[in-house]
Amino acid sequence: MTYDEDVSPRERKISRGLALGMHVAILVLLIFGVSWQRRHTEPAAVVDLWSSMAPPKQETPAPKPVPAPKIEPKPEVKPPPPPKPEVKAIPKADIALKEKLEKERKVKEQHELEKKKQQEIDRRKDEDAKKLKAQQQQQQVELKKKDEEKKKLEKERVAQDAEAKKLAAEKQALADKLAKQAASAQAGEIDKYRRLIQDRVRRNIVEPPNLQGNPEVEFEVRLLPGGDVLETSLKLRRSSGNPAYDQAVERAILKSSPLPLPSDPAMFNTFRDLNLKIKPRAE
Amino acid sequence: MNPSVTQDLSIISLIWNASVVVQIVMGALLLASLFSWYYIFLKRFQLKRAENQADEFEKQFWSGAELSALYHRANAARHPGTLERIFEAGFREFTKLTKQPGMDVAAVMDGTRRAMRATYQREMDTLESHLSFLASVGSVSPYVGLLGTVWGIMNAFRGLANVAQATLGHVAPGIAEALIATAMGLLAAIPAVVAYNHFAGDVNRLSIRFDSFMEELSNILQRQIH
Repeated sequence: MTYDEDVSPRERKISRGLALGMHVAILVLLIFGVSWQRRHTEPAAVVDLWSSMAPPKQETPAPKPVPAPKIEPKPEVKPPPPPKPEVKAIPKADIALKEKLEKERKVKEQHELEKKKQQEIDRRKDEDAKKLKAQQQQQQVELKKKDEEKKKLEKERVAQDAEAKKLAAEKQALADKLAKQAASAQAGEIDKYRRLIQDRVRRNIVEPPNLQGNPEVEFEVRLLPGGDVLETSLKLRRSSGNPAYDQAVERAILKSSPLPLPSDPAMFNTFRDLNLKIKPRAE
Repeated sequence: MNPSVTQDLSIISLIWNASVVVQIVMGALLLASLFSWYYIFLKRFQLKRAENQADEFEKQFWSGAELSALYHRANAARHPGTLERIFEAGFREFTKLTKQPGMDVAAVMDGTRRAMRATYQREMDTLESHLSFLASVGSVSPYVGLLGTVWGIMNAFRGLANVAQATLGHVAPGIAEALIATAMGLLAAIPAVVAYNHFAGDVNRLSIRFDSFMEELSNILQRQIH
């Protein structure tokens, strides 16, 4: 009985697999564990502290097209047709028959009839006049109404026109404002980075011990697109009167390379040739 | 001088960029670790099975079965357990000796015990096999890892001598990659040591169990002579 006989091939296979799995697990654990540590420690090496933190670049939103105010089609107001006066058929009194039958009473009744007729006619006339008058009144009222409506419509139209004008004016104002903002933002950006560059250089200055006051020194610098200072381009424009300080600033500028630049490559042109005015202390 | 250039310190790149000696050491440690884990699992299976078989046989044995019937069954078994083998060897020797005329009790018992002892020794050897490998991995691999680390740090400092301005950045990667060797040595050693202690205890308990079974069986056989 030897060891090899005692262990079945199945057990060997399982053991081999388990051992391999164990190592893979350990390896994965190590790789992930170490990469976590890296993520924690990395930022410490590249942190840059600014005295004035630049606000994130604001993208000026494109002015939204203001929808032109829709002038609604005016409802055509039709004046209701004036009611037609109904003409009533006037029943004719059957006078003729009476005349034939009662001729004798004719003369007698003639007067009465005539009277009646007259009365009737009068009454009818009266009525007609009244009706006419009422009709006229109604027409007048209707006319008035129409007139009022017209006026109202006119008013509405005027109001709508005024609103449209106002909207257009607002649009114009908004666009103006945005343009102004963009311009000022760019100017502000340039200013900000100028300040950042000055801050960074100032931090790297090792002041000579005999420095008096807050003298300003001016350097001319040419930058590469990454912000790196072209060393050969560094020229003293205006000395501060203290050569030790001038040299300190020169060293500081070289040490500060690469200088902070705006992320927008279009703005690099304003920074390509820089006149750096450096004072040891910020005003 | 540019601070934005950071060293890639991931485990894989560290191992990949290590010097040849350190890499050899790491490879050896990886092999040792792989084999020790392989034997850990294998040993676990083997010892578990040995224990189960011993349990089973003891149950059969003490349930009052006839000794010759047990012997026949053990003889016919395809994968007899350790206790079965010991019993089989002892009983075979016992029957052979009792059949011979003119043997006194002491001689028969001595012969039986010798036969059982021989089987026991062989079985114990099987159970203890590869435990020594675990023991050596456990004790040696930290030293091997340390050797790799020392070598790596030596290299790192030698590189430092060629630089005018020495910074921590120049030595840190070298030391980090060298320390990986120590880590690997410890990773290989710790499980091996733990497993060795565990299995050594298991084997010890089994051997005591077999020993006492042998004594009990001799008693039973001695009673059968009379």
